[in-house]
Amino acid sequence: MEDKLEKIWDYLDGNLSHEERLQVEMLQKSDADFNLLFKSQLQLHRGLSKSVVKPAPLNFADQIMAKVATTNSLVSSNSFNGFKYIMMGLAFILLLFSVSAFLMPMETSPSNTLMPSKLVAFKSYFANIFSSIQFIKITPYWSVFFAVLVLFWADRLLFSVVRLNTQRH
Amino acid sequence: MRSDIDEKQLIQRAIDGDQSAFRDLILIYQNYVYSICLSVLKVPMESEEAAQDTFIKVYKSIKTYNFTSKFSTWLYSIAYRTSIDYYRKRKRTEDIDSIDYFLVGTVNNTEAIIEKQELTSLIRMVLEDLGQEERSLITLFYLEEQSVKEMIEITGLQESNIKVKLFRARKKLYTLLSDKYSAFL
Repeated sequence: MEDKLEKIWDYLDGNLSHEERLQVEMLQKSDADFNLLFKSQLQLHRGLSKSVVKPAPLNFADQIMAKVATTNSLVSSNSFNGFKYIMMGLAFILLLFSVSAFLMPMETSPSNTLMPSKLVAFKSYFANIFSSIQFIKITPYWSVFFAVLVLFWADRLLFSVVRLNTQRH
Repeated sequence: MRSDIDEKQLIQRAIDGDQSAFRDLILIYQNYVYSICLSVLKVPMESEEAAQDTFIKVYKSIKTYNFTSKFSTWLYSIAYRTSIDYYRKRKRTEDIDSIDYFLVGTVNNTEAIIEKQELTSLIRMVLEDLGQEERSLITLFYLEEQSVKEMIEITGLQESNIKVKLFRARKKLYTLLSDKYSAFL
């Protein structure tokens, strides 16, 4: 029985050689039981081809496209978050820069120049630049401005993260 | 009947970000993907979710498709793996095969179906009596007449393994049909 079934399935699947196919066809003609089994398997074979494909629910494609749109907005939101991280980093560096510039000595003493350590040279160099543009006068305002900017971005970022988590759940 | 060239163009447009092309691909393959998910999961609601998840995954990773294998094979392998993931998650909480989701509401119609001689409906009902793997292998094999080679790509199983399991599944299907509805076979 198993051998017969295997042979019939191989025949129906097209896995047999020409000679083997002829043998099966001969058996169909000469063996009534085999012929009956063959017909039942052919019926099953054809039935299976029709049975396995089931229709997807209505509006299936539209539902996916709606999800795709959500995915796109999440991706762009994530990209925006990345941009905000960078901007926050830059703002923080500028804030530190402004505060340190505010606290730096604004003159270069002869003793400093006579005993140049790398730090003193660095301080002097920037102090000279700051004094030349009178940076000290605007630094406090910059500090406040960047602090507000950082707080604002942090707030928006927190809001985005909360919204993202809500959508995921 | 879609041509390979048309389909390649459609896939390329989807890769380039054309959403209407992606929608067309969904329309072409939605029944096949849903059928694979249903063959693994049995539960229509969960199968729909898995099928949607499959297409979202495809949307996100379609740029990685490089035309070396058939698009359908690539798509079905994602659908199969996604369904298996869903099946494993669900199996932790309940035995899915013990629930006859399909037979609810249909078992009472058996006689009517027999009277109408709807072999397709009968086969569908008997398919539900097969195990998850047997049912999904049968579905994959008869879905657009996949070759065993394509089934290897989709399932990750070995050729000999697929052939043996497929033979057993068909034999079991035949036995079930003969036992229950001898008038038809």
